[in-house]
Amino acid sequence: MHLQAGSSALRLGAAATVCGLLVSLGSVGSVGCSYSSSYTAPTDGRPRVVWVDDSPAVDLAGSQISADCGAELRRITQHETMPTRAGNMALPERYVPSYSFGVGSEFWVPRYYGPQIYIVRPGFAPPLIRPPLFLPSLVRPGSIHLAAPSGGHGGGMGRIGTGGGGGGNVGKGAAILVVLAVSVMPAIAIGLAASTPESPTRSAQAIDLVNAYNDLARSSGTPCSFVGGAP
Amino acid sequence: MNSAHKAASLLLLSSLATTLGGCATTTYAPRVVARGELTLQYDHGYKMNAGGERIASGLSYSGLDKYVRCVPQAHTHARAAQSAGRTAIALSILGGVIGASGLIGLAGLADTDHLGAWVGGGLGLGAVGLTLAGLSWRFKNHANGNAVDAMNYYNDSVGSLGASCDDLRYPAPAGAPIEAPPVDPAGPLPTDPAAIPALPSPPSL
Repeated sequence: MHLQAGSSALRLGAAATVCGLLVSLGSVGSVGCSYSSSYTAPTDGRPRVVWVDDSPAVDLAGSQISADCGAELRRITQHETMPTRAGNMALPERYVPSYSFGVGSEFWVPRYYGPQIYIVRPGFAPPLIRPPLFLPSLVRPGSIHLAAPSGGHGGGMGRIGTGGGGGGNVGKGAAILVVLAVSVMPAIAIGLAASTPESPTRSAQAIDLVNAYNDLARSSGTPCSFVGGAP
Repeated sequence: MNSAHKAASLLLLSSLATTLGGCATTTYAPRVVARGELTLQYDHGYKMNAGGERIASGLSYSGLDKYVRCVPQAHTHARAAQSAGRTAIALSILGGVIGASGLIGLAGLADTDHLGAWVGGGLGLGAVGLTLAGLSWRFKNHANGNAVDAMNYYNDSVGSLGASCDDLRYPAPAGAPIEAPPVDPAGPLPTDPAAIPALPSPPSL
Protein backbone atom coordinates (compact mmCIF):
# COMPACT_ATOMS: atom_id res chain seq x y z
CA MET A 1 0.00 0.00 0.00
CA HIS A 2 2.76 2.41 1.08
CA LEU A 3 4.82 1.33 -1.90
CA GLN A 4 1.90 1.97 -4.24
CA ALA A 5 1.42 5.49 -2.84
CA GLY A 6 5.12 6.21 -3.31
CA SER A 7 4.98 4.95 -6.85
CA SER A 8 2.05 7.21 -7.75
CA ALA A 9 3.86 10.18 -6.19
CA LEU A 10 6.85 9.40 -8.31
CA ARG A 11 4.68 9.13 -11.40
CA LEU A 12 3.23 12.52 -10.53
CA GLY A 13 6.75 13.84 -10.07
CA ALA A 14 7.81 12.51 -13.46
CA ALA A 15 4.86 14.23 -15.10
CA ALA A 16 5.72 17.44 -13.26
CA THR A 17 9.31 17.15 -14.48
CA VAL A 18 8.28 16.86 -18.09
CA CYS A 19 5.84 19.75 -17.66
CA GLY A 20 8.50 21.87 -15.95
CA LEU A 21 11.00 21.22 -18.71
CA LEU A 22 8.43 21.95 -21.39
CA VAL A 23 7.35 25.18 -19.70
CA SER A 24 10.91 26.40 -19.21
CA LEU A 25 12.04 25.45 -22.70
CA GLY A 26 8.85 26.90 -24.15
CA SER A 27 9.23 30.18 -22.32
CA VAL A 28 12.82 30.53 -23.44
CA GLY A 29 11.96 29.49 -26.96
CA SER A 30 9.01 31.85 -27.25
CA VAL A 31 11.14 34.82 -26.30
CA GLY A 32 13.97 33.67 -28.58
CA CYS A 33 17.65 33.55 -27.72
CA SER A 34 19.01 35.14 -30.85
CA TYR A 35 20.05 38.68 -31.55
CA SER A 36 19.67 39.59 -35.19
CA SER A 37 21.97 42.41 -36.08
CA SER A 38 20.69 45.20 -38.30
CA TYR A 39 24.21 46.35 -39.14
CA THR A 40 25.30 46.14 -42.74
CA ALA A 41 28.97 46.63 -43.37
CA PRO A 42 29.74 49.12 -46.14
CA THR A 43 31.86 47.81 -48.99
CA ASP A 44 34.86 49.92 -48.05
CA GLY A 45 37.62 47.31 -47.96
CA ARG A 46 38.12 47.32 -44.19
CA PRO A 47 37.58 43.86 -42.70
CA ARG A 48 35.67 43.87 -39.44
CA VAL A 49 34.05 41.58 -36.93
CA VAL A 50 30.27 41.43 -37.35
CA TRP A 51 27.61 39.65 -35.36
CA VAL A 52 25.95 36.82 -37.28
CA ASP A 53 23.70 34.15 -35.76
CA ASP A 54 24.80 34.78 -32.20
CA SER A 55 28.48 34.56 -32.90
CA PRO A 56 31.07 36.84 -34.43
CA ALA A 57 32.20 36.41 -38.02
CA VAL A 58 34.60 38.16 -40.36
CA ASP A 59 33.11 40.52 -42.92
CA LEU A 60 35.71 41.25 -45.58
CA ALA A 61 33.80 44.35 -46.76
CA GLY A 62 34.66 43.74 -50.38
CA SER A 63 38.38 43.12 -49.97
CA GLN A 64 39.95 40.03 -51.47
CA ILE A 65 42.39 37.77 -49.73
CA SER A 66 45.17 36.43 -51.91
CA ALA A 67 46.60 32.99 -51.24
CA ASP A 68 49.80 34.54 -49.85
CA CYS A 69 47.79 36.79 -47.59
CA GLY A 70 45.70 33.87 -46.37
CA ALA A 71 48.83 31.85 -45.68
CA GLU A 72 50.39 34.73 -43.77
CA LEU A 73 47.24 35.20 -41.70
CA ARG A 74 47.34 31.52 -40.88
CA ARG A 75 51.02 31.72 -39.91
CA ILE A 76 50.73 34.67 -37.57
CA THR A 77 47.41 33.80 -35.95
CA GLN A 78 47.74 29.99 -35.97
CA HIS A 79 44.13 29.71 -37.14
CA GLU A 80 43.47 27.32 -40.00
CA THR A 81 40.06 28.67 -40.96
CA MET A 82 38.40 32.05 -41.10
CA PRO A 83 34.78 32.21 -39.95
CA THR A 84 32.96 34.41 -42.44
CA ARG A 85 29.30 35.19 -43.04
CA ALA A 86 29.12 32.39 -45.59
CA GLY A 87 30.86 29.78 -43.45
CA ASN A 88 34.38 28.76 -42.61
CA MET A 89 36.98 29.69 -45.19
CA ALA A 90 40.08 27.49 -45.22
CA LEU A 91 43.36 29.39 -45.01
CA PRO A 92 46.13 27.80 -47.09
CA GLU A 93 49.44 26.66 -45.70
CA ARG A 94 52.31 27.77 -47.91
CA TYR A 95 55.65 29.53 -47.84
CA VAL A 96 55.42 33.30 -47.79
CA PRO A 97 58.55 35.30 -48.71
CA SER A 98 59.90 37.32 -45.83
CA TYR A 99 58.97 40.96 -45.54
CA SER A 100 59.52 43.75 -43.09
CA PHE A 101 56.57 44.55 -40.89
CA GLY A 102 57.33 47.83 -39.27
CA VAL A 103 55.07 49.76 -37.00
CA GLY A 104 55.85 53.43 -37.27
CA SER A 105 54.22 56.15 -35.27
CA GLU A 106 51.98 55.80 -32.24
CA PHE A 107 48.78 55.77 -34.26
CA TRP A 108 48.15 54.77 -37.80
CA VAL A 109 46.96 57.68 -39.90
CA PRO A 110 44.22 56.19 -42.04
CA ARG A 111 44.55 56.34 -45.82
CA TYR A 112 41.02 56.57 -47.00
CA TYR A 113 39.66 57.54 -50.36
CA GLY A 114 36.70 59.81 -50.69
CA PRO A 115 35.69 63.36 -50.07
CA GLN A 116 37.05 65.41 -47.20
CA ILE A 117 34.89 64.89 -44.11
CA TYR A 118 33.44 68.04 -42.60
CA ILE A 119 31.83 68.35 -39.20
CA VAL A 120 28.34 69.68 -39.73
CA ARG A 121 27.13 69.63 -36.13
CA PRO A 122 29.79 70.04 -33.45
CA GLY A 123 30.14 66.97 -31.26
CA PHE A 124 28.50 64.63 -33.73
CA ALA A 125 30.01 62.61 -36.52
CA PRO A 126 28.73 63.72 -39.90
CA PRO A 127 26.53 61.28 -41.79
CA LEU A 128 28.60 59.63 -44.48
CA ILE A 129 26.31 59.16 -47.43
CA ARG A 130 29.04 57.41 -49.38
CA PRO A 131 31.41 55.67 -46.98
CA PRO A 132 35.08 56.40 -47.57
CA LEU A 133 37.03 53.51 -49.08
CA PHE A 134 40.18 52.01 -47.67
CA LEU A 135 40.95 50.48 -51.05
CA PRO A 136 40.96 53.10 -53.81
CA SER A 137 39.71 50.67 -56.44
CA LEU A 138 37.42 48.26 -54.77
CA VAL A 139 36.41 45.04 -56.42
CA ARG A 140 32.89 44.21 -55.42
CA PRO A 141 32.53 41.16 -53.22
CA GLY A 142 31.77 37.75 -54.58
CA SER A 143 35.03 36.33 -55.80
CA ILE A 144 37.43 35.26 -53.12
CA HIS A 145 40.52 33.42 -54.16
CA LEU A 146 40.59 31.01 -51.31
CA ALA A 147 38.82 27.74 -50.81
CA ALA A 148 35.07 27.73 -50.58
CA PRO A 149 33.48 27.86 -47.16
CA SER A 150 33.39 24.49 -45.55
CA GLY A 151 30.17 24.11 -43.70
CA GLY A 152 27.92 26.44 -41.79
CA HIS A 153 28.10 27.90 -38.37
CA GLY A 154 28.52 25.73 -35.36
CA GLY A 155 27.46 26.64 -31.89
CA GLY A 156 24.06 26.53 -30.38
CA MET A 157 22.98 25.28 -27.07
CA GLY A 158 24.22 22.00 -25.72
CA ARG A 159 22.15 18.95 -26.23
CA ILE A 160 20.43 17.45 -23.30
CA GLY A 161 21.02 13.76 -23.33
CA THR A 162 18.33 11.39 -22.24
CA GLY A 163 19.26 8.22 -20.53
CA GLY A 164 18.51 4.80 -21.87
CA GLY A 165 16.31 3.22 -19.25
CA GLY A 166 14.01 0.46 -20.33
CA GLY A 167 12.76 -2.59 -18.55
CA GLY A 168 11.38 -2.82 -15.05
CA ASN A 169 8.07 -1.53 -13.81
CA VAL A 170 6.71 1.95 -14.36
CA GLY A 171 7.30 3.05 -10.77
CA LYS A 172 11.00 2.23 -10.90
CA GLY A 173 11.37 4.01 -14.24
CA ALA A 174 9.54 7.05 -12.88
CA ALA A 175 11.76 7.09 -9.81
CA ILE A 176 14.89 7.08 -11.94
CA LEU A 177 13.43 9.83 -14.13
CA VAL A 178 12.58 11.99 -11.13
CA VAL A 179 16.00 11.52 -9.52
CA LEU A 180 17.63 12.36 -12.84
CA ALA A 181 15.43 15.41 -13.31
CA VAL A 182 16.03 16.68 -9.80
CA SER A 183 19.78 16.37 -10.25
CA VAL A 184 20.05 17.30 -13.93
CA MET A 185 17.91 20.45 -13.97
CA PRO A 186 20.06 22.32 -11.41
CA ALA A 187 23.20 21.25 -13.27
CA ILE A 188 21.83 22.58 -16.53
CA ALA A 189 20.64 25.79 -14.87
CA ILE A 190 24.07 26.41 -13.35
CA GLY A 191 25.76 25.54 -16.62
CA LEU A 192 23.54 27.94 -18.58
CA ALA A 193 23.94 30.71 -16.01
CA ALA A 194 27.72 30.47 -15.91
CA SER A 195 28.45 29.83 -19.57
CA THR A 196 28.64 32.13 -22.55
CA PRO A 197 26.33 31.59 -25.52
CA GLU A 198 29.00 32.53 -28.03
CA SER A 199 31.75 30.11 -28.99
CA PRO A 200 35.01 31.36 -27.43
CA THR A 201 37.05 29.59 -30.10
CA ARG A 202 35.11 31.11 -32.97
CA SER A 203 35.16 34.54 -31.30
CA ALA A 204 38.91 34.48 -30.77
CA GLN A 205 39.42 33.22 -34.31
CA ALA A 206 37.35 35.97 -35.94
CA ILE A 207 38.87 38.73 -33.82
CA ASP A 208 42.46 37.55 -34.29
CA LEU A 209 42.08 37.29 -38.04
CA VAL A 210 40.46 40.71 -38.41
CA ASN A 211 43.12 42.36 -36.24
CA ALA A 212 45.95 40.64 -38.07
CA TYR A 213 44.48 41.32 -41.48
CA ASN A 214 44.03 45.02 -40.75
CA ASP A 215 47.61 45.27 -39.47
CA LEU A 216 48.98 43.58 -42.57
CA ALA A 217 46.75 45.50 -44.96
CA ARG A 218 47.73 48.83 -43.44
CA SER A 219 51.47 48.14 -43.61
CA SER A 220 53.42 48.40 -46.83
CA GLY A 221 55.18 45.42 -48.37
CA THR A 222 53.13 42.71 -46.69
CA PRO A 223 51.24 39.99 -48.57
CA CYS A 224 47.97 41.70 -47.58
CA SER A 225 48.94 45.34 -48.20
CA PHE A 226 46.49 47.80 -49.62
CA VAL A 227 48.01 49.49 -52.66
CA GLY A 228 51.23 51.11 -51.59
CA GLY A 229 50.50 50.67 -47.90
CA ALA A 230 51.02 53.35 -45.33
CA PRO A 231 53.20 56.31 -46.27
CA MET B 1 21.10 7.25 -2.24
CA ASN B 2 24.86 7.21 -2.53
CA SER B 3 24.70 6.50 -6.22
CA ALA B 4 22.16 9.28 -6.71
CA HIS B 5 24.43 11.74 -4.91
CA LYS B 6 27.41 10.56 -6.92
CA ALA B 7 25.48 11.00 -10.15
CA ALA B 8 24.35 14.49 -9.18
CA SER B 9 27.88 15.53 -8.18
CA LEU B 10 29.27 14.12 -11.40
CA LEU B 11 26.71 16.02 -13.47
CA LEU B 12 27.40 19.25 -11.62
CA LEU B 13 31.15 18.85 -12.00
CA SER B 14 30.92 18.01 -15.68
CA SER B 15 28.61 20.96 -16.25
CA LEU B 16 31.00 23.32 -14.49
CA ALA B 17 33.96 21.80 -16.31
CA THR B 18 32.40 22.44 -19.69
CA THR B 19 31.46 25.93 -18.59
CA LEU B 20 34.79 26.97 -17.22
CA GLY B 21 37.10 24.87 -19.34
CA GLY B 22 38.10 25.34 -22.96
CA CYS B 23 38.07 29.12 -22.87
CA ALA B 24 39.87 30.30 -25.98
CA THR B 25 41.37 33.77 -25.95
CA THR B 26 42.70 36.04 -28.66
CA THR B 27 46.43 35.75 -29.17
CA TYR B 28 47.08 38.54 -31.66
CA ALA B 29 47.18 42.12 -30.43
CA PRO B 30 46.49 44.75 -33.10
CA ARG B 31 49.40 47.12 -33.71
CA VAL B 32 48.45 49.37 -36.62
CA VAL B 33 45.44 51.14 -35.20
CA ALA B 34 43.91 54.52 -36.01
CA ARG B 35 43.70 57.18 -33.30
CA GLY B 36 40.17 56.63 -31.97
CA GLU B 37 39.59 53.18 -33.42
CA LEU B 38 37.91 50.56 -31.24
CA THR B 39 39.41 47.09 -31.47
CA LEU B 40 38.11 43.82 -30.07
CA GLN B 41 39.76 41.27 -27.87
CA TYR B 42 38.34 38.05 -26.43
CA ASP B 43 39.41 36.87 -22.98
CA HIS B 44 36.59 35.34 -20.96
CA GLY B 45 34.26 37.74 -22.76
CA TYR B 46 34.55 40.56 -25.23
CA LYS B 47 36.83 43.50 -24.44
CA MET B 48 36.99 46.72 -26.40
CA ASN B 49 40.15 48.79 -26.51
CA ALA B 50 41.15 52.10 -28.05
CA GLY B 51 44.37 54.07 -27.80
CA GLY B 52 45.96 51.32 -25.73
CA GLU B 53 43.28 51.54 -23.06
CA ARG B 54 40.36 49.34 -22.10
CA ILE B 55 37.16 51.15 -23.02
CA ALA B 56 34.54 48.51 -22.15
CA SER B 57 34.15 44.82 -21.50
CA GLY B 58 31.24 42.42 -21.54
CA LEU B 59 28.77 41.80 -20.25
CA SER B 60 28.25 45.19 -18.62
CA TYR B 61 29.93 47.26 -21.37
CA SER B 62 30.00 50.25 -19.07
CA GLY B 63 31.76 53.21 -20.66
CA LEU B 64 30.99 52.18 -24.22
CA ASP B 65 28.04 54.57 -24.59
CA LYS B 66 30.19 57.52 -23.52
CA TYR B 67 32.99 56.60 -25.90
CA VAL B 68 30.74 56.32 -28.96
CA ARG B 69 28.37 59.15 -28.03
CA CYS B 70 28.99 61.21 -31.18
CA VAL B 71 27.49 58.53 -33.46
CA PRO B 72 23.78 58.30 -32.65
CA GLN B 73 23.31 54.72 -33.96
CA ALA B 74 26.36 53.51 -32.07
CA HIS B 75 25.19 55.25 -28.93
CA THR B 76 21.76 53.58 -29.15
CA HIS B 77 23.32 50.14 -29.55
CA ALA B 78 25.79 50.79 -26.74
CA ARG B 79 22.95 51.69 -24.38
CA ALA B 80 21.04 48.58 -25.44
CA ALA B 81 24.15 46.46 -24.83
CA GLN B 82 24.55 47.85 -21.33
CA SER B 83 20.91 47.30 -20.48
CA ALA B 84 20.90 43.73 -21.82
CA GLY B 85 24.20 43.03 -20.07
CA ARG B 86 22.88 44.10 -16.68
CA THR B 87 19.75 42.00 -17.14
CA ALA B 88 21.83 39.00 -18.22
CA ILE B 89 24.03 39.23 -15.13
CA ALA B 90 21.00 39.46 -12.83
CA LEU B 91 19.22 36.55 -14.51
CA SER B 92 22.37 34.41 -14.47
CA ILE B 93 22.83 34.87 -10.74
CA LEU B 94 19.18 34.23 -9.96
CA GLY B 95 18.97 31.28 -12.34
CA GLY B 96 22.11 29.68 -10.95
CA VAL B 97 21.14 30.10 -7.30
CA ILE B 98 17.51 29.03 -7.70
CA GLY B 99 18.47 26.20 -10.03
CA ALA B 100 21.08 24.89 -7.60
CA SER B 101 18.58 25.00 -4.77
CA GLY B 102 16.48 22.53 -6.76
CA LEU B 103 18.86 19.84 -5.53
CA ILE B 104 16.93 19.83 -2.25
CA GLY B 105 14.54 17.53 -4.10
CA LEU B 106 17.06 14.74 -3.52
CA ALA B 107 16.24 14.95 0.19
CA GLY B 108 13.05 13.09 -0.69
CA LEU B 109 15.14 9.96 -1.15
CA ALA B 110 15.89 10.03 2.58
CA ASP B 111 12.53 11.34 3.76
CA THR B 112 10.27 8.95 1.82
CA ASP B 113 7.22 9.96 3.86
CA HIS B 114 7.30 13.39 2.21
CA LEU B 115 8.77 12.26 -1.06
CA GLY B 116 6.21 14.11 -3.20
CA ALA B 117 6.77 17.43 -1.46
CA TRP B 118 10.54 17.23 -1.66
CA VAL B 119 10.55 16.13 -5.28
CA GLY B 120 7.88 18.63 -6.29
CA GLY B 121 9.74 21.47 -4.60
CA GLY B 122 13.03 20.44 -6.14
CA LEU B 123 11.55 20.15 -9.58
CA GLY B 124 9.78 23.49 -9.29
CA LEU B 125 12.95 25.28 -8.20
CA GLY B 126 14.94 23.52 -10.90
CA ALA B 127 12.43 24.55 -13.57
CA VAL B 128 12.40 28.20 -12.41
CA GLY B 129 16.21 28.27 -12.28
CA LEU B 130 16.44 26.69 -15.70
CA THR B 131 14.00 29.22 -17.15
CA LEU B 132 15.88 32.19 -15.69
CA ALA B 133 19.23 30.81 -16.80
CA GLY B 134 17.85 30.18 -20.28
CA LEU B 135 16.55 33.72 -20.45
CA SER B 136 19.97 35.01 -19.40
CA TRP B 137 21.37 33.47 -22.59
CA ARG B 138 19.08 35.64 -24.65
CA PHE B 139 20.25 38.79 -22.88
CA LYS B 140 23.90 37.77 -23.14
CA ASN B 141 23.47 37.43 -26.89
CA HIS B 142 21.74 40.79 -27.09
CA ALA B 143 24.43 42.48 -24.99
CA ASN B 144 27.28 41.14 -27.11
CA GLY B 145 25.51 41.66 -30.42
CA ASN B 146 24.55 45.24 -29.62
CA ALA B 147 28.06 46.01 -28.39
CA VAL B 148 29.64 44.71 -31.62
CA ASP B 149 27.12 46.73 -33.64
CA ALA B 150 27.91 49.85 -31.61
CA MET B 151 31.62 49.34 -32.26
CA ASN B 152 31.05 48.90 -35.99
CA TYR B 153 28.79 51.94 -36.37
CA TYR B 154 31.31 54.02 -34.44
CA ASN B 155 34.35 52.78 -36.35
CA ASP B 156 32.63 53.29 -39.70
CA SER B 157 31.97 56.97 -39.02
CA VAL B 158 34.72 57.98 -36.64
CA GLY B 159 37.21 55.45 -35.26
CA SER B 160 38.68 53.84 -38.35
CA LEU B 161 38.92 57.27 -40.00
CA GLY B 162 41.34 58.49 -37.35
CA ALA B 163 38.98 60.58 -35.23
CA SER B 164 37.37 60.14 -31.84
CA CYS B 165 34.34 61.63 -30.11
CA ASP B 166 36.65 63.51 -27.75
CA ASP B 167 38.54 65.04 -30.66
CA LEU B 168 36.38 64.92 -33.74
CA ARG B 169 38.96 65.88 -36.35
CA TYR B 170 39.52 63.76 -39.42
CA PRO B 171 42.77 63.51 -41.34
CA ALA B 172 42.60 64.54 -44.98
CA PRO B 173 41.72 61.84 -47.49
CA ALA B 174 44.49 60.26 -49.52
CA GLY B 175 42.61 60.83 -52.72
CA ALA B 176 39.45 60.09 -54.56
CA PRO B 177 38.29 56.52 -55.08
CA ILE B 178 39.20 55.00 -58.42
CA GLU B 179 35.94 54.01 -60.01
CA ALA B 180 34.75 53.24 -63.48
CA PRO B 181 34.05 56.75 -64.70
CA PRO B 182 30.63 57.48 -66.13
CA VAL B 183 30.67 58.53 -69.77
CA ASP B 184 30.30 62.24 -69.41
CA PRO B 185 32.11 64.58 -71.81
CA ALA B 186 32.02 67.37 -69.26
CA GLY B 187 33.82 65.19 -66.73
CA PRO B 188 32.74 64.22 -63.24
CA LEU B 189 31.83 66.79 -60.70
CA PRO B 190 34.30 67.12 -57.86
CA THR B 191 32.94 65.68 -54.64
CA ASP B 192 35.10 67.83 -52.43
CA PRO B 193 33.40 71.20 -51.83
CA ALA B 194 36.80 72.82 -51.45
CA ALA B 195 37.77 71.63 -54.90
CA ILE B 196 34.83 73.31 -56.61
CA PRO B 197 36.20 76.40 -58.34
CA ALA B 198 34.61 79.62 -57.26
CA LEU B 199 32.24 81.14 -59.76
CA PRO B 200 33.37 84.44 -61.26
CA SER B 201 31.87 87.28 -59.37
CA PRO B 202 29.46 89.48 -61.30
CA PRO B 203 30.89 92.68 -62.65
CA SER B 204 30.40 95.54 -60.31
CA LEU B 205 28.55 98.48 -61.63
